[in-house]
Amino acid sequence: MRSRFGIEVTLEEVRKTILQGLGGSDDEGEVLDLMEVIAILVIPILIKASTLEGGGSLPENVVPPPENLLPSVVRILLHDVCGDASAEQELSPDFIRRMLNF
Amino acid sequence: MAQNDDLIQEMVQAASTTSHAGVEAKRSPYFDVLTFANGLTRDMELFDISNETRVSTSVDDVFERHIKSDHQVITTPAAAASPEDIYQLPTPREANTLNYIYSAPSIDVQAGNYRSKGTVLNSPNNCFPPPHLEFLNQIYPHKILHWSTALTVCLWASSLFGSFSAAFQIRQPLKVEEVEVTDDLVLANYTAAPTSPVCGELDYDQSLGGNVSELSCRLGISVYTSLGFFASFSLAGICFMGLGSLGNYVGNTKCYLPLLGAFFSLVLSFGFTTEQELQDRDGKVIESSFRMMVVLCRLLGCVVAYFHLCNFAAVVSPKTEFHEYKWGRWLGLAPLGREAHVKSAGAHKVNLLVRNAMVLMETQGVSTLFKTYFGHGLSAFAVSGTTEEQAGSFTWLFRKMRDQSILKEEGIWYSTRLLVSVLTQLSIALFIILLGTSSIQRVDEQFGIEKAQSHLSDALDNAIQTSVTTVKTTDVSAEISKAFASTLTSMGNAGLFGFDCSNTTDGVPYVVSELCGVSATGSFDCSMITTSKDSLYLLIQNPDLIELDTAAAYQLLDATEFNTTYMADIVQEQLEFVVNQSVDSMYTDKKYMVTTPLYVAVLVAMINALWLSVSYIPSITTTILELRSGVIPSLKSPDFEKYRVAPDTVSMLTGSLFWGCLVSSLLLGLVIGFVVFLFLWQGSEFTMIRALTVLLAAFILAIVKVLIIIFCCRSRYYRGLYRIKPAASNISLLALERAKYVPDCIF
Repeated sequence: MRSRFGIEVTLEEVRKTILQGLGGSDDEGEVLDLMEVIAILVIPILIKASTLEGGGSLPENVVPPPENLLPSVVRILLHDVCGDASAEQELSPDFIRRMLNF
Repeated sequence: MAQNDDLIQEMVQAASTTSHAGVEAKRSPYFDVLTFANGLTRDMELFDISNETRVSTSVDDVFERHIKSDHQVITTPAAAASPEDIYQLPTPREANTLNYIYSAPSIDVQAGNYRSKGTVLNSPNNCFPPPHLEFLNQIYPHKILHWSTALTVCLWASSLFGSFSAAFQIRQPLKVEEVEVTDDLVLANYTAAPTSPVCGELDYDQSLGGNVSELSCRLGISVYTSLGFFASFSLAGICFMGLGSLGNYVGNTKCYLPLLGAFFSLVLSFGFTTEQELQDRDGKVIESSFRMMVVLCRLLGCVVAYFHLCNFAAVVSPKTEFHEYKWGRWLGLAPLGREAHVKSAGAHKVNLLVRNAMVLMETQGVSTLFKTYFGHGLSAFAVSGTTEEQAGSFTWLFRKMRDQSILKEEGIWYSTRLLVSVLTQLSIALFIILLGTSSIQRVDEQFGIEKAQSHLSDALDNAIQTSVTTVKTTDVSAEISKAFASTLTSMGNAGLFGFDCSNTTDGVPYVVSELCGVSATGSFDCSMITTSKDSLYLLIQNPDLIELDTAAAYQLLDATEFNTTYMADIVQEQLEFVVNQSVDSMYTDKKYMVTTPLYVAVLVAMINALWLSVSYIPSITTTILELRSGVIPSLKSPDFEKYRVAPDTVSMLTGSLFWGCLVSSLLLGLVIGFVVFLFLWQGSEFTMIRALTVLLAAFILAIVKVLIIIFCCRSRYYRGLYRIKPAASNISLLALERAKYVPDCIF
């Protein structure tokens, strides 16, 4: 492959760098599915929200994430998985399993 | 995934522990915001949030920023306990095995050579230049990017002005007659000679078939000339852009290349426009527009040379940060600021995506049957999942450009080609002003009704005299005599002359067959008739002679002492008088009848050119937004295959934008100016006023009709789509339907 900027990249390099890091493996059949692409896109915003929730601050001029992002998602998860958004739920493998099966 | 116990266990561990300075600590045992945030981002600690504001490329952020040069092994907390899951990243060199091929970057206007895609800069705050640029570590001139766009735009404009000024130098291109190759750039030699040493003269008495060789020759010359123009412009463009932009690309480290670029830009801009070109063939100073074109070519060439010198200084003195100075920032010379804007715009887009999702979850659903947020989200998405945003208008773009959110939030920037096209369109507006004012000034100075009439009368008199002289010397004079004799005969027969032609003085009737001799061929010979009276009587008495024997009638007419030359002179005088009177009545009485339409035409053409130039960027912005939002299909476009196999069609854009702007502006200006002229000219003034009254009446009628429809028909006969007075509504509809045949429907 050759970009219009003159950069030549081999298929092996794509597999070793992009697919290995973002797709999970460098196998022949590895692809980036829609969820992985979405995850790639939202990784920065999740890190920003996590930093703010942890009491940290964002560097100057960094675009802040929408307010109340993670609490909203937590409330949704608790409501849908446990049926009560306000209940305290122990972080256990069973809860994770129920969340993934939902 | 839910069946993978090890993975589940790792998830729990990642969410419930945190790490500070390599020391892990236990967090809350409950699923809350903090544990959720920790679980989401526990394995992404290497991602630096400040990447978003770093003046670097995404390639650098991904492959350099997070990969340490010591071949660091990165492990997750869970992976620490599971050595087999250790994820080992490649070294920088392994990860950055990108190979570059030479792509003539200094003329890469298609990619936009101001962008640093695929490369990074080496600023003091940017610590990880990619390995393939490591050798540039100390002298990499990132400041070269500051002037790259401006240099390319100025160079392109200079080359255009140079090419067109060279083309202007070619006199009377339509009269190209002989062709010879003189050098690489000038392939055709144009002369104003009316004769052709190469092609024979066209024989207008013959049909096209008789002129095949001459026409073929001229066709060949036309093709050759067109090829000459094509080659000239192409070679000039390559020379200008190729040589004049030497060293104007990101990775340049050779200090002599900008100097060469400056040298060539000066040589080419001044070489294409010599002092000799500032004069016409008669030694007179040529038009101001052409002079301005030459001046602009040279001026822009100097600006390009200055930018090259700036690049030279950047290469020689790489540690000087021009953007630290106020004037540098004022000129927008921040290093690679646009690259930061890309990442900032990406953050805004993802924010918008997430915010929309959050709003959607809080939107009222269509059904209360859904007991989960998941179902509610699906329901709400079906109802209000699509929203529209007004974007892309002129004011929208102006607002976005004013606060720079067009770069920082929308992530839209404009290529060098686009800026060049806008510049050429602005130059068209400038030249329309120059040409227009020059023309108006010339008309203002030379306008004179007497002078113009005198010139026109002399020209018409010459034409008429030539025609009458030709008439005299040809057989047509016989036709004049014939017509005169015929009229004379008719008048004689009608007794208007009071002649008694029944008998001659000796009592013999005036019969041609008896008085004139008859030759063996049957034609008459009336030369023996010498008296004017007998000749006149013969003509009157024998009206058929004119048709029977024109020559004999002419002999008799000549014998009557009828002076055909004098008659022709009389005809000429009368013709000249009538023509001059007609022409004088059509000539513009006042100067403003000419100058005002010219002013209007120039103003309209200039406004059109300016409007096109200022609307081009909003137009391309709208196109970008439509392409992003799917209004314009990309890969699913039915024409995608056509686009895919013809990437060269993009080269048509700049030329078509130039000529489209020029031609449309001139045509619009001429049309509007002609209409204004018709309103002012005494020959059409009243006709146009009558037409205007008709249009005005139709416009008033249209307004009245709309008022009647709104305040009568719609309000009294309808409630929405329901008729409250069916009969009246039917009658009014029929009346309106028939009224549509009235021309007021154009309004």
